[in-house]
Amino acid sequence: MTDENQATIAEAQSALESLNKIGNETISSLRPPLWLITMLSLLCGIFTFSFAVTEGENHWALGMWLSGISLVLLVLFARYSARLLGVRGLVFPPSGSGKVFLALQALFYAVVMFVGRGATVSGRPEIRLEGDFPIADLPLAPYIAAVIVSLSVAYLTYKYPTNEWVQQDASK
Amino acid sequence: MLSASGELEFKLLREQLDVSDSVLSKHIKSLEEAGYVAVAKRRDFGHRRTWLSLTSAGRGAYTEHVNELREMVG
Repeated sequence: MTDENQATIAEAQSALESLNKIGNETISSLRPPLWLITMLSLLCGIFTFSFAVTEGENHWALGMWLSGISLVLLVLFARYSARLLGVRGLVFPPSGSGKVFLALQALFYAVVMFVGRGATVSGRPEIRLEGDFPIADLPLAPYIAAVIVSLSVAYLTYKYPTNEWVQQDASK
Repeated sequence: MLSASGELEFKLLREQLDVSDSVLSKHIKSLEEAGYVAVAKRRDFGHRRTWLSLTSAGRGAYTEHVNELREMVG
C-alpha cells in the first residue's frame, strides 16, 4: 500500500469519526428531557397494561382511554416545545431507513400488546379464546407486556429521538 | 445534523455549529443551489423563522458519501 493510499484511508477514518461525533451531539441536542421520556414510557406501559386487562366497560377501559388521551397530549406538547426550540419533527421520518425503523417499532409494539392481551384473555376461563394460545394462563402477561413496551419506548426515545436511524458511538 | 431530523431552524443550526450568520448562510446557499438543502421561510408563533431540511437528493448524496468513506476504511 502506498503512502498516498494510507493517507486517504486515514482521512476517510477521520471524516467518519467526525461524522459519528456530530451524530452523537445532534442526538443529545434533539433528545427530549428525561422527565418527558419517563412520562411517555410510563403512559405507554399503563396503556399496554389497561389494553391487556380491559374487559367491556370495567375500570381498566377507563384507564386505557385516559392513558391514551394523556399520551396523545404529551406527544403534542413534546412536538410543540421542540418546534419552539427550532426542531420540527415529521410524523414519518424522511429517509428510507427511518421509515423502516419506525415500521419495525410499530410492529414490535403491536405484537407485544396483542400477545399480552391474548395471553391475558385466554387465561380467563370464562372468556377463553378459540384454540390454544401459546402462553395462555400466564398471570403475569399484562405486567410483562407493559414493562417491555415501557422500557422499549424509554430506550428508543432516548437513543433515537427523531425516529431516524442514526449510527451512534457505542460508548455514548 | 439535518440527516437526523426533519427540519431545523437556521438559528439552532448556527448555535450548534458555532458559526456566524454569514458563514452558515454562504454554505446553505451553495447547498441550496446544488439542490441538497431546502430553505423555507415561515411565520411561526408570530416570528419569521427560517427552516432548513435535506432534500431527497441531499439525503442520497450524504448517504452515498458516508458509504464511500466506509468502503475506503474497509
